[in-house]
Order: sequence, then C-alpha cells, then structure tokens
Amino acid sequence: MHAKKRSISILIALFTTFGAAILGAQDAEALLAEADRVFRIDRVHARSTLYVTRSGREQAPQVMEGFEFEARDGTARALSVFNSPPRVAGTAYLTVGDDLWVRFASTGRVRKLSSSAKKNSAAGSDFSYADMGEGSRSFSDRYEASHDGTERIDGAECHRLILTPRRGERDAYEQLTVWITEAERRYRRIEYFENGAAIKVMELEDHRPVGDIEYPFRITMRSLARDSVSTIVTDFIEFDSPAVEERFFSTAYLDTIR
Amino acid sequence: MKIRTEGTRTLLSRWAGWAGTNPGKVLLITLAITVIMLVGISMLKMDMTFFSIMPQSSPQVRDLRRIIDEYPFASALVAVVDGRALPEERATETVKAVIDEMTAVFASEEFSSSVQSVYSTVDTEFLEEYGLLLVEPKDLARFRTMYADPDLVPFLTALNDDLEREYSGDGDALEDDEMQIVAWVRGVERIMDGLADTMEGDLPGRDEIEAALDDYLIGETYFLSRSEDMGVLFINPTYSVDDLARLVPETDRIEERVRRIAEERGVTAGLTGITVIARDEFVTSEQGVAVSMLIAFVLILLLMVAVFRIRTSPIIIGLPLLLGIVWTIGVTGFTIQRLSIITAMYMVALVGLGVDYAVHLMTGFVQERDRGRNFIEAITGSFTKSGRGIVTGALTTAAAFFALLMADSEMIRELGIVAGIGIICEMTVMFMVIPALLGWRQKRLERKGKVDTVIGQKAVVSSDFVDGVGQVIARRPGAVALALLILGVALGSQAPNVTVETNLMELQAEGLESIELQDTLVEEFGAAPDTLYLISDDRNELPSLVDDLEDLESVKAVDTITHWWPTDAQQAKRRPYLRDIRDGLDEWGSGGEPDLDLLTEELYRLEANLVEMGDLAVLGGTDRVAFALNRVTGLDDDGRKVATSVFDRLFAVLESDGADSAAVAAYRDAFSPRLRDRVYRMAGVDRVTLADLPTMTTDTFLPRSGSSTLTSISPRRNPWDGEYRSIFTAQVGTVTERGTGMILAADQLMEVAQNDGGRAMIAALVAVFIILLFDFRNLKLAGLTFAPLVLAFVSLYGVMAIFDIKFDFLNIIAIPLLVGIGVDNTVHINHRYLIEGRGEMRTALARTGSAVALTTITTMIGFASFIPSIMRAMRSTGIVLTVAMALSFIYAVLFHPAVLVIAAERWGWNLRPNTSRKEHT
Repeated sequence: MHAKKRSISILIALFTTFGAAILGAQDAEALLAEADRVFRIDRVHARSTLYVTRSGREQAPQVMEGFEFEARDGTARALSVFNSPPRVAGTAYLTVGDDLWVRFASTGRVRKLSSSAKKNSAAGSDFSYADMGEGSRSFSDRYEASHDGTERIDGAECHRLILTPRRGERDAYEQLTVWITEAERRYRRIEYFENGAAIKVMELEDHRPVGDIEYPFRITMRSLARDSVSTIVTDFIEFDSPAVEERFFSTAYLDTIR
Repeated sequence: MKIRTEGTRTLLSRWAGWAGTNPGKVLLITLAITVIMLVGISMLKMDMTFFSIMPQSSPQVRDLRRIIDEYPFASALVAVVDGRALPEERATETVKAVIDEMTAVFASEEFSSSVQSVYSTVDTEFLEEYGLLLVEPKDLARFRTMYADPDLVPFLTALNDDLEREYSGDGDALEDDEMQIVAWVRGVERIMDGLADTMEGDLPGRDEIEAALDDYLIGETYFLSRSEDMGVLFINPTYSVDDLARLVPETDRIEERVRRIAEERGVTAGLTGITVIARDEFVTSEQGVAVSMLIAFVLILLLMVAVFRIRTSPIIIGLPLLLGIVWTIGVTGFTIQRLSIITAMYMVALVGLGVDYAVHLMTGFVQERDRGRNFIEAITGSFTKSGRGIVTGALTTAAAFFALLMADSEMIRELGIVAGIGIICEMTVMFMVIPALLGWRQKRLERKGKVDTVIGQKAVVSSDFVDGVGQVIARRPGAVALALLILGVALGSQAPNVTVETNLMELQAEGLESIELQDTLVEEFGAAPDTLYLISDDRNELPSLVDDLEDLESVKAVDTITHWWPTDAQQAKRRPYLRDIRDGLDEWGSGGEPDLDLLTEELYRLEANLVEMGDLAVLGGTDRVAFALNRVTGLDDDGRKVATSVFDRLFAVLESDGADSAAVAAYRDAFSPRLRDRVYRMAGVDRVTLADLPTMTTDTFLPRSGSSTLTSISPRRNPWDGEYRSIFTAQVGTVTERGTGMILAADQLMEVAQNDGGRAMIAALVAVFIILLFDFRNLKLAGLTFAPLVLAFVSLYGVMAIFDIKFDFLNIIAIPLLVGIGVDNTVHINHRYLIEGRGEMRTALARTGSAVALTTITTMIGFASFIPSIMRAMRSTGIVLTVAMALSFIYAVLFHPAVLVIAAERWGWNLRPNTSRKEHT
C-alpha cells in the first residue's frame, strides 16, 4: 500500500515537473512564433544608415538602400546598394539564398563571395551577412525555444527565451537568448552565443508601426568579443513595396547599377 | 550589578607597579627580546608583487610559475619605442633606427650580466630557407599555381587570378593581417615601380629588386604598430620576477638606457611586460607602505601629544608602538619568513590598532592621576581597570585574526598569522614598556622637582559631548536605537548592488607607464601582452588545437612552435607541394618578347583588384591597409583620384607610342630570375629540425630544458576587461582546459579572496562569539554585542554600493579583520556598563566614550593612511576600512548602549555573568 502511494506520488511529481516543462516549451514556441512576425514581411524597400564604431573611433556612416524579396520557391533574395560614403557609393551586395555577390562601384566588377562568407562581418560592421537577413526564415524555423524567466529592460517586462538550433540546422548560432516584450510580443534584445560564450548582443529599439507590424527602426549590434558597435537606423521602410522588382535580384542587374 | 574589579590587585596591576618602579630592568628585557626579533627580521623576504600572493597551489598559478621559470621569453621586458610625435615621413625609419641601436646596446658586453638576449626583428634567413614549409597546404596549392611561371606577365596573371579567386568578403581578415597586407602592398608597389622606372629608362639595381621581393615575400621584419610609427623590441633578462634582489636595480638600469637612447633620437620609449609590472608593483607597494606607515605614525603621535598633553608621548607611546611592529616582523621572520603586499599593509594598520592599548592604559593613568592618586596608585589603577578589557579586546581581535587560518589560501592564512601575532606583540609590548616609560618619566620629574603636567588636565577623563550623548541615550534609548536601525536597514538595502573589480590592472598604481603601455600595445599594435598560455608535451597535438583556437571569435592570434617547426606529419603533407613548386621552377626558362597588350591588361586587372581591396579597407575601417592601397592606386578615402599612381605611370608609357617591349624584357630579366631564386629557396624540402630554428623561436616556444612547448593565445581585446575576459576564457575553455596566464591567475586570486573572505568572516565571527561568551559568560550579552557589528557590515556594503566602491581582492580580505577590530568598542562599553551598573549608562559612556572615540580615531588614522597611496588597491582598502571603522564606532557608541539600556533596564534582561548572578542577586 505504501509502495503504491509512493508510486503515485512520484508519478504526480514527474507529471508536474515534466508537464510544466512541456507547457513552458509550448509557451516559449508560441511566444517566439508571435515575435517572428517581424520576419514575415515581403517586398521590403528600406533606406537606412549604418554607423560603426571600432575601438572608440567612429567610421564614416554608410547609407544604403535595401530591397528584399522572397521568390516563389521560398529563396530569400536581398539587394543592398550603398549611397554613401562616396568611396562605395553604388557598390551593391546581392544575396540569393546562400549565395552572395558584391558589385564594386569603383571598378564596375561583380565578384562572388564564398558561401562561408555569410557568417563574416558585413561591410566592416558587427552584423554578419546572415544577421542582415535570412529572408522569411525566422528564428522559430531554425531554433527550438525554452522559457528562461522574465526580466525588465528599460522598464519593459520581457520574456527571456533560450533558443538552440533545430536538428540538422546549418550555420546557426550555438545558442541565442532572446528577450521578447511581454506586452507587445516583439524582440527587444538578442544575444548570440558561439563556443560557450555570448559574442554579440543586438538591441532592437524605436519600434514603430509599419503596416500591421511593429518594426524596430534602430538596431544596434554590440560585439562582446571586439571593441566595436554597429547601429542600423532605418530612415524609411515599406512592406509589399511596388519599388521592389524581381529583376533586381540577379547578377545581371548588378552590372547595370550606376 | 557592580562587579568587584576596581581595587582588586590583579597580576597585571602588580606587574605595572613593579615595571613602574624598575624601568631600567624592564627596558633591558625589552631590548634583549628586540635583539632576538631583529634576527627574525634578517630572515625575512619582502615579496611585494601581486603574483606572490596568488594561490600558488592552483594549477593555473603553478603553470604560470613554470612558464616564468622555464620559458625565457615569458619574462621578456618589452621596450616600446614611440615615434608618434615625429613627422610621418620620418617616424618609421627613426623608430627602426632606435630599435637597432637598442638591440646593439643591450646585446653588448655592458649589459651581459642583466640581458640574456634581445630580439627586434623576425629571423629572415630562416624564412628565406624554410618559408614555404611553414605554409598551409591550401595556400601552397595557390602558390604552386602562382609561381609556376615567374616570368613577369605570367606572374601578374597568376597574381590576379589568385586575387580574384572566390572571395571571403571578410572585413575582419583585412584587420587581422593588416601589417602583412600593408607590407605585401608595398612589395607590389615596389615591383611595379621597378617596372615603371625601367620603362622610363631607369632599370633598378639588384638591391632595389631584392628589397621589393623582401616586402612581397617576407613582409615587415620589425615589430611595428599599425601606423608604423611605433615599434617594440624584446629584452630577455637574466633574472625573473622572483629574483627580487635584481628585479628593481637591473630593470631600472635597462629602463634608464632605453629612455636615454630614445631621447637622443627625439622619440620616447618605455618598458612593459610581466617583469616590469612586477618591478613596479614591488616599488609602488613598498613606497605605499612606507609613506602610509610614516603618515600613520606622525598623525597618531601628534594626536597622542594633543590628547594626553604629555610632551614625551611620542616616546612613551611611540616607542612601544614601534617595538610592537618590530617584534611582529621579527616573529613573522621566524615563522613564515616573508612579508607579502597584504601582510606589509597590515603593519601600517597595526600602528592604528596597537596604539589603542596605549590609549586605554594612558587614559586610565591620567584619570587616576587626575583623581589625585600617586604615580604607583595611578599606574596600577589603570592596569586594574583597563587591563582586563584590553586583554579581552586583544584576544578577541587576535582570535578573529587567527581564525583566518581556516582559509584555503596561503595569502589569507599568512595574514591571519601575522595579524594575530601583531596584536599579541603590541599588547605585550604596551603592557611591558608603558609602565616602565611612565616610571622613567616620573623619576625624571621627581629628580627635577617638577609637578606632573597631567594632574588637573582632565584631558580625556570626560567630555561634554560624550556626556551629552550618554544623556540622550539614557533618556530615549528606543528612539536612538530605532533611528540607527533605520539607517542600517536603509544603507543595507543598497548592499546587494556592490560590484566586484575584475580588472587587476585597475588596482595597480595610477599612471604607471608599464600599465599604460599595455593599453598602448592593444590600441596601436592590436596585440594584448597578457595572453593565455598553453603548455604542451606533445607537439603533434598542436596543429588541430591551434586551428580550433583560431576559430574562436575572441581570439586574435595563436602563436605556437609548429608555425615555425611543423610536425613531421605537417612537413610530410607540405613537401609534395614544395617539390611541385621546385619542379616547376626547375623547368622554367625566361625568354621571348613580352606581350605588351597582355601586360597592360594584367596591370589594369591588378589595379582594379587593389582598388576593390581599398574599397573594403575603407568600409571596414582598416586605415593602414586603406592608406597603403590608396597610395598604390592614387585614390583618397572617397575614391577620388588625387595622385599619380605607379599604374598611371605605367599606362602612360604602355599606351603611348613609346611603349618598348625591350624595356619590359630588361626588367623581366632582372626581376623574374630573382623571384624564381627566392621562391625556389623558400620551397626547400629539407626537414626542419630543432637546430635549424632561430633562437627567438626557441626562446619563445621552448623551455630551457625539457621537451614541452609553449603556445600563446592572444586575446582580441584587453583581457583585463572583466566582461571580455569571461568570454575569452570561456571560449578557450571549450577547446582546452589547460589554458593559463596572468589573467586566469588573477581570476583565481579574486575567486580565492571571495571564497576565503566569506569563510574567514564566518570563522572570525565564531571565534569572537566564543571569546565573548567566555568573557561575559552571558549568551544574551554576547548576542547583543554582535548586533552593532552586523549593522556596521551591512551599512558598509550599502555605502560601498552608493559610492561605487568595488570589492577587490585586497579589501575583501581585509574586511574580516573588522570583526575582531570592530567588536572592541562594544566590549569596552559592556565592561564599563557592568562595572558602573544599571541606570549608569551615562557614566559608563562618559568613562569609556572618549577612550573608545580616541582608539577608533587612531585605528581610522592607521587605515586612512592608505588613502594617499598611489596604489589603487591600497587606496580602496584604506577607504573601505576607514568607513567601516566610522560605522562600527557609530553603532557601538550610539546603537549598542541604547540597546543595552532597553534590554537591561526596560526589558529586565540579566546581562551579568552567569557565575556572578547568585552572588549579586
């Protein structure tokens, strides 16, 4: 009788423990999916400025115009054209899935970048080419989430989630910690882990409504391993923009940019 | 409730009477003991570096010691030559000339006793012979194609093909290889210059072509900053940081010469590196302790003269105080045989602590004289009334200090021993010498027929202020206790916000050149001198380990022996490529008329490639690479054509009617065979052995004896930055757990200080509590005595948080000392209250308040004397301990008496010793 009672107690304890964990995981996935709305945008046309500060020295601001488009086969395509600084005005980066090209305005030549370049620093900033955009492939597509408590950031109560790559996911970070605001369910902070340590942290601020999405007009990436910080300030952004044309996303178009 | 203490002839009072009448005999005994202690002092070693207090048993510290002992380069003095004040066009050459002169001077006979070797440039001879054997197979595959045909035009074609291969687009790579890329660009420019000169009718000489090939194939041989206006050389001393007798004078001598050579050439120079920092720690710690000691002594003795109005106070109090310190150092010499930076600092604190016993004895003496007692009655009366309190206070304090022996770390155990010994020595000397010196003074007064000046002075007997405080406490104990409790809780609420100083360099002396140069090395050279090290007994494990380490975001570079002495497996993999390169070059024959059209096309391609690299360099903010590429392409940072480039010169000739293939052939005939010979030589297939290695390499990576190797892992940022350091060490930890270095040793120091600080605090509290129980034989009173101590600690942490005073390894260790020191005041008040009895708190405070205030002030002077120290660790410890003493005093004389009045007189608690209850009921 005693043994039976004990078994039931253990079962109840196990259920409450794992049951809570399962519920926690479901909540976390749901939260993540909700915050991922910001990824589910297409035909994006934006103008933004990238500010990079390295070892305390500010570099020339980089003004760029960006176009994003998702092809019918689901391949993410992005084109970024620099307007400033003068040295690289007209220089453009084209991303088609995992492939990257750069077109130098100074020489008019188009160069293919190696596929491993996606995790490299983009334009000398703290953003990698991958951070700059994975198309509609959101965090919930690539990572599994678990709830790790709550925390206040600048007065806003946030859920803290730990994301680990889904099985078979290539080129993902070892771990992400994301903070999602409790009220608006939008990303507020993302910490990127590699080889056992947080190496950079992204702050998403100045959220403003664009269509039915709250978009962060100021995104700051601070490298924890290097003495540098990069900020993208969006000056203009439009979703489902008529300015985005499918023909932009080819190397042939790169050749025509002046 | 009165206890029969007054009037009782105790052992101490009998001693005081005898010593007062026989001062000569006492002083003779004291002298004999002091002579013995001087023998102990002669056995003492001053170990005043941070390294000396690190936990010597930890694997990191053990490895670090092994590195310092066995690997010559780890102790190298880094001479930093700064030519930034010079015009840009002269800076690089002047810096190189200064480095050359320093190299010659320090390698000369003059410095043979202090300098083992000097390194200022890369060993080019080794690179010219084995250069390509040191290159990874994937790059050798590129080189095989690139150098298949060293004829001018095919070489340019291959070079362009290589530059246009699938490109990684990594801005960081440009930054990491900045210096080598700059040298390579300069090499390309010089090769093109040679061609342009030839086409303009001026064929360059052999040396010019060789110099261009040096830049192109070998790169910069000096260790220069990114902007090439600073340089370093490494001076291997014949002594280490442990060789304390030579550390200061020899380092000073080298430093003086480094400065002089630099000054003569209009630049500046200074030294850094682990040895120089150890020298600076040693010197600044010694200076800090000496200055603090002097300040403490002078202030305390002046205070004593002012308070007791006895002109001979500096002798009557100062001499035993000094003797107490001499005895303490002597016993330390006999027992642990060294003084560390922490125990040396304690000697200064001891000035403030030791004088307390003199204050109590002198106060009692003056009070008795003031009551009209004769000398012997006064001195015995003083010992009778104050003796037991002093013994209890001293034993409590000493026990709290000895409790530090529970600590794991040697540094805290040493502190416990020295601190405990110090208290007992000071108390013993005071008991021995003060009555003797007072007796000597009395005899002098009597001989001269003078009246004792202390009679009728009422200097410390009572004070209106203390009396007023006592009155308020006696009348409104609840309000006073509540107000102080609220203060304690308010301050304590901030306590969780105290942070920990994780940057050991922030604890060093301010403005030290050796520390500032470390930052300069990070900023200007992109290299932090404090790397992590890895000792390996198996060279074959290194290649894969190094690959993994180099992949880490926080790691800037990994330097290891296999970069210079590849493993047999690595050499075997590379040799086929080298044979191919050699075979190709064996078959090569220059000749034929150069194709000018193809040459022009390749030059356009090369220019375009260099312009694109310049675009990326400008975007990535790699200024030096951008500058070099802009110069060769004639562009500015905005991409505007601002100068005539070597390409402009070449195109002008090639696109003119005067283009002459014979001139190109002439240059080709001068250039290509030399390129071929250099590459052929560098592609040597002979096995590299230990004997072939340059001495700089062996000194850097190999021990003086044995077969282990040393690998250094350079951080990307200054590793003393706590947030970054945790990333760096965590990432390295994912590859190997064997990393070691000063930064990890410093972490261990802080970790041990935190753990042991907490443990020592608990041990001290337990020890003090037991002694209080023995002394008061009353659990309630012992408990109440603790309350002000707890409030003082909590408030201290609150004050630290509010004023952003961080915990560091020094103040966190010193804080447990306060358990023993802080409880003294409450002990004295308890004793007096028990003597004076219920309802007499005002009298008890009037009788003890001044002495307690005075002893607190002297202790505070002892601690505060660290505040002017240039060493920031001493300064912070001085601030923390001074604030702690002030808080401890406030709670002891205001909160504690109020609580005693409430407990004993309002709540009716019995605070008398248990054994005397029956007697007094």
